[in-house]
Amino acid sequence: MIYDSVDNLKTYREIPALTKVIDYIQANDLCKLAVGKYEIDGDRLYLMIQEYVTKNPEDARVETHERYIDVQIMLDGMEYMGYAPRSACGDPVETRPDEDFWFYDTEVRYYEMANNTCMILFPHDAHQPQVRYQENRKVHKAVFKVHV
Amino acid sequence: MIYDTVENMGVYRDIPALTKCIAYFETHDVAQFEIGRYPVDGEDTYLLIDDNPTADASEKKLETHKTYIDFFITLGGEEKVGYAKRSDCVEPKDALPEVDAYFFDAPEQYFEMKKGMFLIVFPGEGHRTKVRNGDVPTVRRAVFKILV
Repeated sequence: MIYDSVDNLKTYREIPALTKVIDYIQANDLCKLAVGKYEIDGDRLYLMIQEYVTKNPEDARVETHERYIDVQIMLDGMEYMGYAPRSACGDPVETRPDEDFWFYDTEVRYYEMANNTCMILFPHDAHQPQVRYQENRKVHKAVFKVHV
Repeated sequence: MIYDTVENMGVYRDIPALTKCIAYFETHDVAQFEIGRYPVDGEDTYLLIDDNPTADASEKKLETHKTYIDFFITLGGEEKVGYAKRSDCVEPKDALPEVDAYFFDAPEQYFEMKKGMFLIVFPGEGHRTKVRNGDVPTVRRAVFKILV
């Protein structure tokens, strides 16, 4: 798992799976994109611009993906991201392989997603996005899906 | 910063500054090493094996380095590491430039370090190490010091 500011992502650019997405982030103003899905390299790399209201922790699920790395960036707002190594999560309580979701009932630790914060979650990283920070509020986020 | 478990270390191999240390970790059973200092790439990049008591956060300092990456691997015991963003570590309240240590007061988030976990902080990122996790009294670590 990588947790850093968008401004520092060049540190991680040489990881082969991340080169294209980091170049895209540095070349585009994500804040100006409308909510929606943007294909960058077909289904190998795409971007979702999201707006939603953050959830209570009991309403947000802990998940992993097998086929995609998530690159999550807070554009405007604040939320908590729950995190746990997949190896500490036990067996999934529900699986949706067709949608690339594996869900867990496990304890996580919460990390702050303030503006410009980026978390990169590999298939071995369980995560619980969209959790409220202090209050339920609307946030504006970018989520890149990077095929492994 | 990177926070992960050792079985996933290979994901980060292509970050140029980390390549030699990850190869070293994969080819040496550092858990069997005595406490001490071991050269990895001449004297510029080296490995420390240490075993220290943990303590309350108030007894430990939040520090950054300008020229070294710190690559912490927990071999036994536990600790918590306080982490502060680079953008929050601007004005040091104290400094020991001769040992590349700069000290700060800044907002922190804590990362639990149990056996088999690793954490990598790059220059400028604040870290407060050897903070007691629960009632675990000591932590044994492998620490790669990587000159950038």
